[in-house]
Amino acid sequence: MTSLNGSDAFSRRKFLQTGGLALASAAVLAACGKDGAAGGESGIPRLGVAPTTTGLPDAPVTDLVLLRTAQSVEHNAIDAYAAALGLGLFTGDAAALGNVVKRFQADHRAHSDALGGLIKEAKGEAYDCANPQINKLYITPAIDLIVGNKDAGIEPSDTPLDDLLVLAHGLESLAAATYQYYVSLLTDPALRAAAMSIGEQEGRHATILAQAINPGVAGVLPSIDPDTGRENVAAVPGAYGSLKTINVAVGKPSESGSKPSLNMETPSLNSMIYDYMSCS
Amino acid sequence: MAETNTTAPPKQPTSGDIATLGFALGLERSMTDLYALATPKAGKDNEAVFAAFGEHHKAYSQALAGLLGRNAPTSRNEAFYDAFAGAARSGSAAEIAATFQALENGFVATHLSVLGSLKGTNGAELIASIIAIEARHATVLGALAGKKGLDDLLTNSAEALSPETYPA
Repeated sequence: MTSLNGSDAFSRRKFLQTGGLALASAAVLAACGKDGAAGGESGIPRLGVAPTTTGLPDAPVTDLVLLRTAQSVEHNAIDAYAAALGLGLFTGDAAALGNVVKRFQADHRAHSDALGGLIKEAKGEAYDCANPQINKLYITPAIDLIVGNKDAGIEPSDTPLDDLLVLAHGLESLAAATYQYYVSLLTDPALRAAAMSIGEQEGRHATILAQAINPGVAGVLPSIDPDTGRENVAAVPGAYGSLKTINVAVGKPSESGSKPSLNMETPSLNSMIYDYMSCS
Repeated sequence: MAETNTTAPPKQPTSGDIATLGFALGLERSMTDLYALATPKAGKDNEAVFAAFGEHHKAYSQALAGLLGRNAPTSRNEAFYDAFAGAARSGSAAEIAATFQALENGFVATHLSVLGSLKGTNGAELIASIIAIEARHATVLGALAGKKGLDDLLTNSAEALSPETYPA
Protein backbone atom coordinates (compact mmCIF):
# COMPACT_ATOMS: atom_id res chain seq x y z
CA MET A 1 0.00 0.00 0.00
CA THR A 2 1.31 3.45 -0.86
CA SER A 3 1.00 6.01 1.88
CA LEU A 4 -0.41 9.37 0.90
CA ASN A 5 2.39 11.18 2.64
CA GLY A 6 5.00 9.20 0.72
CA SER A 7 3.26 9.47 -2.66
CA ASP A 8 5.03 11.22 -5.57
CA ALA A 9 1.73 12.78 -6.58
CA PHE A 10 1.80 15.00 -3.51
CA SER A 11 5.48 15.75 -3.36
CA ARG A 12 6.68 19.34 -3.15
CA ARG A 13 8.59 18.92 -6.45
CA LYS A 14 5.44 17.77 -8.33
CA PHE A 15 3.41 20.60 -6.86
CA LEU A 16 5.87 23.22 -8.06
CA GLN A 17 6.05 21.63 -11.54
CA THR A 18 2.22 21.61 -11.88
CA GLY A 19 1.94 25.17 -10.63
CA GLY A 20 4.55 26.30 -13.13
CA LEU A 21 2.65 24.64 -16.00
CA ALA A 22 -0.58 26.41 -15.00
CA LEU A 23 1.12 29.81 -14.94
CA ALA A 24 2.68 29.19 -18.37
CA SER A 25 -0.72 28.16 -19.82
CA ALA A 26 -2.35 31.33 -18.53
CA ALA A 27 0.34 33.44 -20.14
CA VAL A 28 -0.18 31.73 -23.55
CA LEU A 29 -3.96 32.19 -23.34
CA ALA A 30 -3.56 35.84 -22.46
CA ALA A 31 -1.25 36.35 -25.44
CA CYS A 32 -3.86 34.80 -27.79
CA GLY A 33 -6.50 37.33 -26.77
CA LYS A 34 -7.46 40.19 -29.09
CA ASP A 35 -5.49 42.78 -27.17
CA GLY A 36 -2.67 40.56 -26.10
CA ALA A 37 -1.64 40.44 -22.49
CA ALA A 38 -4.11 43.12 -21.50
CA GLY A 39 -6.95 40.71 -22.34
CA GLY A 40 -9.11 43.29 -24.13
CA GLU A 41 -11.34 45.93 -22.60
CA SER A 42 -12.66 43.56 -19.98
CA GLY A 43 -9.17 42.65 -18.90
CA ILE A 44 -10.15 38.96 -19.07
CA PRO A 45 -7.93 36.82 -21.30
CA ARG A 46 -9.90 34.95 -24.00
CA LEU A 47 -9.33 32.72 -27.01
CA GLY A 48 -10.81 33.84 -30.35
CA VAL A 49 -13.58 36.36 -30.96
CA ALA A 50 -17.11 35.79 -29.63
CA PRO A 51 -20.02 36.97 -31.82
CA THR A 52 -22.12 39.80 -30.44
CA THR A 53 -25.49 38.80 -29.03
CA THR A 54 -28.78 40.61 -28.66
CA GLY A 55 -30.26 40.33 -25.17
CA LEU A 56 -33.95 39.90 -24.47
CA PRO A 57 -35.86 43.08 -23.56
CA ASP A 58 -36.01 43.94 -19.90
CA ALA A 59 -39.18 42.16 -18.80
CA PRO A 60 -40.14 42.11 -15.14
CA VAL A 61 -42.81 39.68 -13.96
CA THR A 62 -45.62 42.06 -13.07
CA ASP A 63 -49.23 41.39 -12.14
CA LEU A 64 -50.08 42.24 -15.75
CA VAL A 65 -47.68 39.61 -17.08
CA LEU A 66 -49.23 37.01 -14.80
CA LEU A 67 -52.76 37.91 -15.92
CA ARG A 68 -51.76 37.83 -19.59
CA THR A 69 -50.11 34.45 -19.11
CA ALA A 70 -53.21 33.09 -17.39
CA GLN A 71 -55.30 34.40 -20.28
CA SER A 72 -53.03 32.61 -22.75
CA VAL A 73 -53.57 29.35 -20.87
CA GLU A 74 -57.33 29.84 -21.21
CA HIS A 75 -56.81 30.07 -24.96
CA ASN A 76 -54.74 26.89 -24.93
CA ALA A 77 -57.75 25.15 -23.42
CA ILE A 78 -60.21 26.78 -25.87
CA ASP A 79 -58.08 25.72 -28.85
CA ALA A 80 -57.43 22.22 -27.50
CA TYR A 81 -61.17 21.64 -27.00
CA ALA A 82 -61.83 22.96 -30.51
CA ALA A 83 -59.29 20.48 -31.87
CA ALA A 84 -60.87 17.66 -29.85
CA LEU A 85 -64.37 18.51 -31.10
CA GLY A 86 -63.03 18.70 -34.65
CA LEU A 87 -61.94 15.07 -34.54
CA GLY A 88 -65.58 13.96 -34.70
CA LEU A 89 -65.21 11.42 -31.88
CA PHE A 90 -68.00 12.72 -29.67
CA THR A 91 -70.84 10.82 -31.30
CA GLY A 92 -73.20 8.07 -30.15
CA ASP A 93 -72.56 7.19 -26.52
CA ALA A 94 -69.87 9.88 -26.38
CA ALA A 95 -72.25 12.68 -27.40
CA ALA A 96 -72.86 13.60 -23.75
CA LEU A 97 -69.11 13.99 -23.28
CA GLY A 98 -69.10 16.30 -26.28
CA ASN A 99 -71.59 18.52 -24.48
CA VAL A 100 -69.31 18.60 -21.44
CA VAL A 101 -66.40 19.63 -23.66
CA LYS A 102 -68.49 22.40 -25.25
CA ARG A 103 -69.50 23.68 -21.82
CA PHE A 104 -65.91 23.69 -20.58
CA GLN A 105 -64.79 25.49 -23.73
CA ALA A 106 -67.45 28.15 -23.14
CA ASP A 107 -66.30 28.49 -19.52
CA HIS A 108 -62.73 29.09 -20.69
CA ARG A 109 -63.95 31.80 -23.07
CA ALA A 110 -65.73 33.45 -20.15
CA HIS A 111 -62.54 33.17 -18.06
CA SER A 112 -60.51 34.76 -20.85
CA ASP A 113 -63.03 37.60 -21.11
CA ALA A 114 -62.89 38.13 -17.34
CA LEU A 115 -59.09 38.25 -17.42
CA GLY A 116 -59.19 40.59 -20.41
CA GLY A 117 -61.34 42.95 -18.35
CA LEU A 118 -58.87 42.88 -15.47
CA ILE A 119 -55.97 43.48 -17.84
CA LYS A 120 -57.65 46.47 -19.48
CA GLU A 121 -58.54 47.85 -16.06
CA ALA A 122 -54.83 47.76 -15.25
CA LYS A 123 -54.05 49.62 -18.51
CA GLY A 124 -52.60 46.54 -20.12
CA GLU A 125 -53.11 44.82 -23.45
CA ALA A 126 -55.16 41.62 -23.45
CA TYR A 127 -53.52 38.52 -24.91
CA ASP A 128 -56.30 36.78 -26.82
CA CYS A 129 -54.39 33.79 -28.11
CA ALA A 130 -52.79 30.59 -26.89
CA ASN A 131 -49.48 30.38 -25.06
CA PRO A 132 -46.98 29.33 -27.76
CA GLN A 133 -44.72 27.45 -25.36
CA ILE A 134 -47.57 25.36 -23.95
CA ASN A 135 -48.73 24.58 -27.47
CA LYS A 136 -45.24 23.61 -28.53
CA LEU A 137 -44.25 21.60 -25.47
CA TYR A 138 -47.48 19.90 -24.47
CA ILE A 139 -50.55 20.24 -26.68
CA THR A 140 -49.13 19.71 -30.17
CA PRO A 141 -47.09 16.66 -29.09
CA ALA A 142 -50.09 15.22 -27.22
CA ILE A 143 -52.44 15.67 -30.18
CA ASP A 144 -49.81 14.06 -32.45
CA LEU A 145 -49.66 11.09 -30.12
CA ILE A 146 -53.45 10.77 -30.14
CA VAL A 147 -54.23 11.21 -33.85
CA GLY A 148 -50.82 10.19 -35.22
CA ASN A 149 -48.30 12.09 -37.32
CA LYS A 150 -46.99 10.27 -40.41
CA ASP A 151 -44.15 12.74 -40.99
CA ALA A 152 -42.86 12.18 -37.48
CA GLY A 153 -43.47 8.42 -37.64
CA ILE A 154 -46.08 8.51 -34.86
CA GLU A 155 -48.88 5.98 -35.09
CA PRO A 156 -52.35 7.01 -33.90
CA SER A 157 -53.70 5.89 -30.54
CA ASP A 158 -55.96 2.84 -30.32
CA THR A 159 -58.09 4.67 -27.74
CA PRO A 160 -58.31 8.28 -28.94
CA LEU A 161 -61.41 9.22 -26.96
CA ASP A 162 -59.95 7.96 -23.68
CA ASP A 163 -56.72 9.80 -24.47
CA LEU A 164 -58.56 13.03 -25.19
CA LEU A 165 -60.13 12.83 -21.74
CA VAL A 166 -56.71 12.27 -20.19
CA LEU A 167 -55.31 15.27 -22.08
CA ALA A 168 -58.28 17.44 -21.09
CA HIS A 169 -57.87 16.39 -17.46
CA GLY A 170 -54.19 17.30 -17.65
CA LEU A 171 -54.90 20.71 -19.16
CA GLU A 172 -57.59 21.54 -16.60
CA SER A 173 -55.25 20.48 -13.80
CA LEU A 174 -52.52 22.62 -15.33
CA ALA A 175 -54.84 25.63 -15.50
CA ALA A 176 -55.96 25.12 -11.89
CA ALA A 177 -52.36 24.83 -10.72
CA THR A 178 -51.36 27.93 -12.69
CA TYR A 179 -53.86 30.13 -10.84
CA GLN A 180 -52.89 28.63 -7.50
CA TYR A 181 -49.19 29.19 -8.19
CA TYR A 182 -49.77 32.75 -9.35
CA VAL A 183 -51.36 33.63 -6.01
CA SER A 184 -47.84 33.51 -4.59
CA LEU A 185 -46.60 35.92 -7.30
CA LEU A 186 -49.44 38.43 -7.60
CA THR A 187 -48.95 41.51 -5.44
CA ASP A 188 -52.54 42.76 -5.40
CA PRO A 189 -54.79 40.77 -2.99
CA ALA A 190 -57.87 41.53 -5.09
CA LEU A 191 -56.20 39.98 -8.12
CA ARG A 192 -55.24 36.90 -6.10
CA ALA A 193 -58.92 36.38 -5.24
CA ALA A 194 -59.97 37.00 -8.84
CA ALA A 195 -57.40 34.47 -10.04
CA MET A 196 -58.52 31.79 -7.61
CA SER A 197 -62.19 32.39 -8.43
CA ILE A 198 -61.26 31.14 -11.90
CA GLY A 199 -58.79 28.54 -10.62
CA GLU A 200 -61.43 26.85 -8.48
CA GLN A 201 -63.59 26.53 -11.61
CA GLU A 202 -60.75 24.77 -13.43
CA GLY A 203 -60.48 22.42 -10.45
CA ARG A 204 -64.17 21.58 -10.80
CA HIS A 205 -63.64 20.85 -14.50
CA ALA A 206 -60.75 18.55 -13.59
CA THR A 207 -62.92 16.79 -11.01
CA ILE A 208 -65.66 16.05 -13.54
CA LEU A 209 -63.12 14.78 -16.07
CA ALA A 210 -61.47 12.62 -13.39
CA GLN A 211 -64.85 11.05 -12.74
CA ALA A 212 -65.31 10.43 -16.46
CA ILE A 213 -61.95 8.62 -16.53
CA ASN A 214 -62.26 6.79 -13.21
CA PRO A 215 -65.95 6.87 -12.27
CA GLY A 216 -67.86 6.40 -9.03
CA VAL A 217 -66.97 6.61 -5.37
CA ALA A 218 -63.88 4.46 -6.02
CA GLY A 219 -62.50 7.23 -8.23
CA VAL A 220 -62.87 10.04 -5.69
CA LEU A 221 -59.84 9.44 -3.48
CA PRO A 222 -56.27 8.52 -4.49
CA SER A 223 -55.68 4.87 -5.37
CA ILE A 224 -53.14 2.70 -7.15
CA ASP A 225 -53.81 0.53 -10.21
CA PRO A 226 -52.85 -2.98 -9.02
CA ASP A 227 -51.85 -4.03 -12.55
CA THR A 228 -49.54 -1.14 -13.41
CA GLY A 229 -48.60 0.10 -9.95
CA ARG A 230 -49.34 3.64 -11.13
CA GLU A 231 -51.62 6.19 -9.49
CA ASN A 232 -55.18 6.22 -10.78
CA VAL A 233 -56.73 9.55 -11.68
CA ALA A 234 -58.60 10.84 -8.61
CA ALA A 235 -61.32 13.48 -8.38
CA VAL A 236 -59.79 14.73 -5.11
CA PRO A 237 -56.10 13.82 -5.33
CA GLY A 238 -55.04 15.23 -1.95
CA ALA A 239 -55.84 17.57 0.92
CA TYR A 240 -54.24 20.60 -0.77
CA GLY A 241 -54.09 21.84 -4.34
CA SER A 242 -51.01 20.37 -5.96
CA LEU A 243 -48.32 22.28 -7.84
CA LYS A 244 -46.36 19.21 -8.84
CA THR A 245 -45.65 18.17 -12.43
CA ILE A 246 -48.72 16.79 -14.21
CA ASN A 247 -48.11 13.53 -16.04
CA VAL A 248 -50.23 12.88 -19.13
CA ALA A 249 -49.89 9.43 -20.73
CA VAL A 250 -51.51 9.23 -24.19
CA GLY A 251 -50.94 7.55 -27.54
CA LYS A 252 -50.21 4.07 -28.82
CA PRO A 253 -48.68 1.89 -26.11
CA SER A 254 -45.15 0.61 -26.53
CA GLU A 255 -44.35 -3.11 -26.59
CA SER A 256 -44.10 -3.01 -22.81
CA GLY A 257 -47.70 -1.76 -22.69
CA SER A 258 -47.00 1.75 -21.38
CA LYS A 259 -48.18 4.84 -23.21
CA PRO A 260 -45.83 7.70 -24.03
CA SER A 261 -46.09 10.41 -21.40
CA LEU A 262 -45.65 14.16 -21.20
CA ASN A 263 -44.86 16.09 -18.05
CA MET A 264 -46.70 19.40 -17.84
CA GLU A 265 -45.60 22.27 -15.63
CA THR A 266 -47.21 25.60 -14.83
CA PRO A 267 -45.96 28.50 -17.00
CA SER A 268 -42.81 29.96 -15.48
CA LEU A 269 -40.22 32.52 -16.55
CA ASN A 270 -39.55 30.94 -19.96
CA SER A 271 -43.23 30.69 -20.91
CA MET A 272 -44.81 33.84 -19.51
CA ILE A 273 -46.48 36.41 -21.73
CA TYR A 274 -44.37 39.51 -21.11
CA ASP A 275 -45.44 43.07 -21.91
CA TYR A 276 -43.45 43.17 -25.15
CA MET A 277 -45.21 40.07 -26.55
CA SER A 278 -48.34 40.24 -28.67
CA CYS A 279 -50.55 37.82 -30.56
CA SER A 280 -49.37 37.40 -34.13
CA MET B 1 -54.44 47.82 -8.94
CA ALA B 2 -50.70 47.28 -9.20
CA GLU B 3 -49.25 47.71 -12.65
CA THR B 4 -45.66 47.04 -11.75
CA ASN B 5 -44.19 45.20 -8.82
CA THR B 6 -42.04 47.66 -6.97
CA THR B 7 -42.41 46.38 -3.43
CA ALA B 8 -42.61 42.73 -2.50
CA PRO B 9 -45.63 41.91 -0.34
CA PRO B 10 -44.96 40.64 3.20
CA LYS B 11 -44.72 36.90 3.75
CA GLN B 12 -45.96 36.62 7.31
CA PRO B 13 -49.58 37.47 8.17
CA THR B 14 -50.08 41.12 9.06
CA SER B 15 -52.11 42.11 12.12
CA GLY B 16 -55.14 42.49 9.86
CA ASP B 17 -54.51 39.06 8.34
CA ILE B 18 -54.42 37.42 11.76
CA ALA B 19 -58.05 38.25 12.54
CA THR B 20 -59.20 37.12 9.08
CA LEU B 21 -57.25 33.87 9.21
CA GLY B 22 -58.46 33.28 12.76
CA PHE B 23 -62.06 33.43 11.51
CA ALA B 24 -61.21 30.92 8.77
CA LEU B 25 -59.56 28.66 11.35
CA GLY B 26 -62.65 28.63 13.57
CA LEU B 27 -64.78 27.65 10.58
CA GLU B 28 -62.41 24.85 9.58
CA ARG B 29 -62.54 23.43 13.11
CA SER B 30 -66.34 23.49 12.98
CA MET B 31 -66.37 21.79 9.59
CA THR B 32 -64.13 19.02 10.92
CA ASP B 33 -66.64 18.38 13.69
CA LEU B 34 -69.60 18.55 11.30
CA TYR B 35 -68.02 15.89 9.08
CA ALA B 36 -67.48 13.76 12.18
CA LEU B 37 -71.23 13.99 12.85
CA ALA B 38 -72.13 13.23 9.24
CA THR B 39 -69.74 10.41 8.41
CA PRO B 40 -71.68 7.61 10.16
CA LYS B 41 -74.89 8.84 8.54
CA ALA B 42 -73.50 9.42 5.05
CA GLY B 43 -74.24 5.92 3.78
CA LYS B 44 -71.97 2.91 3.46
CA ASP B 45 -70.68 3.87 0.01
CA ASN B 46 -69.92 7.45 0.94
CA GLU B 47 -68.48 6.93 4.40
CA ALA B 48 -64.83 6.78 3.32
CA VAL B 49 -65.24 9.94 1.24
CA PHE B 50 -66.81 11.86 4.14
CA ALA B 51 -64.14 10.64 6.53
CA ALA B 52 -61.38 11.75 4.13
CA PHE B 53 -62.94 15.15 3.54
CA GLY B 54 -63.26 15.63 7.31
CA GLU B 55 -59.56 14.82 7.64
CA HIS B 56 -58.78 17.42 4.99
CA HIS B 57 -60.56 20.09 7.01
CA LYS B 58 -58.70 18.96 10.11
CA ALA B 59 -55.44 19.39 8.19
CA TYR B 60 -56.52 22.91 7.15
CA SER B 61 -57.23 23.90 10.74
CA GLN B 62 -53.87 22.53 11.83
CA ALA B 63 -52.05 24.37 9.04
CA LEU B 64 -53.82 27.63 9.84
CA ALA B 65 -53.05 27.19 13.54
CA GLY B 66 -49.41 26.61 12.64
CA LEU B 67 -49.35 29.77 10.56
CA LEU B 68 -50.96 31.88 13.29
CA GLY B 69 -48.93 30.42 16.15
CA ARG B 70 -49.90 31.84 19.51
CA ASN B 71 -52.43 34.13 17.81
CA ALA B 72 -54.52 31.15 16.73
CA PRO B 73 -57.99 30.79 18.27
CA THR B 74 -58.23 27.59 20.27
CA SER B 75 -61.85 26.67 19.63
CA ARG B 76 -64.25 26.06 16.78
CA ASN B 77 -66.81 28.60 15.59
CA GLU B 78 -69.77 27.59 17.77
CA ALA B 79 -72.32 29.73 15.95
CA PHE B 80 -71.52 28.03 12.65
CA TYR B 81 -71.43 24.58 14.19
CA ASP B 82 -74.76 25.04 15.93
CA ALA B 83 -76.39 26.32 12.75
CA PHE B 84 -75.57 23.16 10.78
CA ALA B 85 -75.15 20.33 13.31
CA GLY B 86 -78.77 19.24 12.86
CA ALA B 87 -78.64 19.11 9.06
CA ALA B 88 -75.26 17.35 9.14
CA ARG B 89 -76.73 14.23 10.74
CA SER B 90 -80.26 14.06 9.40
CA GLY B 91 -81.88 13.03 6.14
CA SER B 92 -80.93 10.52 3.48
CA ALA B 93 -77.38 9.98 2.27
CA ALA B 94 -78.16 12.14 -0.76
CA GLU B 95 -79.60 14.92 1.41
CA ILE B 96 -76.55 14.91 3.67
CA ALA B 97 -74.30 15.06 0.60
CA ALA B 98 -76.33 18.03 -0.68
CA THR B 99 -75.98 19.77 2.70
CA PHE B 100 -72.21 19.37 2.60
CA GLN B 101 -72.02 20.46 -1.04
CA ALA B 102 -73.66 23.71 0.05
CA LEU B 103 -71.30 24.02 3.02
CA GLU B 104 -68.22 23.42 0.86
CA ASN B 105 -69.43 25.97 -1.68
CA GLY B 106 -69.89 28.41 1.20
CA PHE B 107 -66.32 27.74 2.33
CA VAL B 108 -64.99 28.35 -1.20
CA ALA B 109 -66.81 31.70 -1.31
CA THR B 110 -65.59 32.56 2.20
CA HIS B 111 -61.98 31.71 1.49
CA LEU B 112 -62.07 33.70 -1.76
CA SER B 113 -63.22 36.65 0.30
CA VAL B 114 -60.46 35.97 2.84
CA LEU B 115 -57.89 35.72 0.04
CA GLY B 116 -58.95 39.08 -1.33
CA SER B 117 -58.07 40.79 1.94
CA LEU B 118 -54.84 39.02 2.95
CA LYS B 119 -51.60 40.97 2.64
CA GLY B 120 -49.14 38.24 3.62
CA THR B 121 -48.25 35.71 0.95
CA ASN B 122 -47.82 32.74 3.30
CA GLY B 123 -51.46 32.95 4.31
CA ALA B 124 -52.56 33.63 0.74
CA GLU B 125 -50.74 30.57 -0.59
CA LEU B 126 -52.25 28.35 2.09
CA ILE B 127 -55.79 29.63 1.53
CA ALA B 128 -55.41 29.22 -2.26
CA SER B 129 -54.33 25.61 -1.87
CA ILE B 130 -57.37 25.01 0.38
CA ILE B 131 -59.80 26.64 -2.07
CA ALA B 132 -58.47 24.39 -4.84
CA ILE B 133 -59.57 21.28 -2.98
CA GLU B 134 -62.76 22.55 -1.32
CA ALA B 135 -64.09 23.30 -4.81
CA ARG B 136 -63.38 19.68 -5.70
CA HIS B 137 -65.11 18.52 -2.50
CA ALA B 138 -68.19 20.50 -3.51
CA THR B 139 -68.24 18.98 -6.99
CA VAL B 140 -67.93 15.42 -5.69
CA LEU B 141 -70.59 15.99 -3.02
CA GLY B 142 -72.93 17.37 -5.67
CA ALA B 143 -72.49 14.16 -7.65
CA LEU B 144 -73.02 12.06 -4.49
CA ALA B 145 -76.22 14.03 -3.93
CA GLY B 146 -77.41 12.76 -7.31
CA LYS B 147 -77.06 16.03 -9.18
CA LYS B 148 -76.38 15.48 -12.86
CA GLY B 149 -76.55 18.94 -14.41
CA LEU B 150 -73.24 20.68 -15.04
CA ASP B 151 -74.58 23.92 -13.58
CA ASP B 152 -75.31 22.09 -10.30
CA LEU B 153 -71.71 20.91 -10.11
CA LEU B 154 -69.85 23.90 -11.52
CA THR B 155 -71.73 26.96 -10.38
CA ASN B 156 -71.12 28.36 -6.95
CA SER B 157 -73.76 30.87 -5.96
CA ALA B 158 -72.99 30.64 -2.23
CA GLU B 159 -72.37 33.81 -0.24
CA ALA B 160 -69.24 34.21 1.82
CA LEU B 161 -69.74 33.52 5.53
CA SER B 162 -69.11 36.57 7.67
CA PRO B 163 -67.95 37.12 11.26
CA GLU B 164 -71.08 39.21 11.79
CA THR B 165 -73.31 36.19 11.08
CA TYR B 166 -71.02 33.67 12.73
CA PRO B 167 -69.01 35.50 15.39
CA ALA B 168 -65.99 33.63 16.70
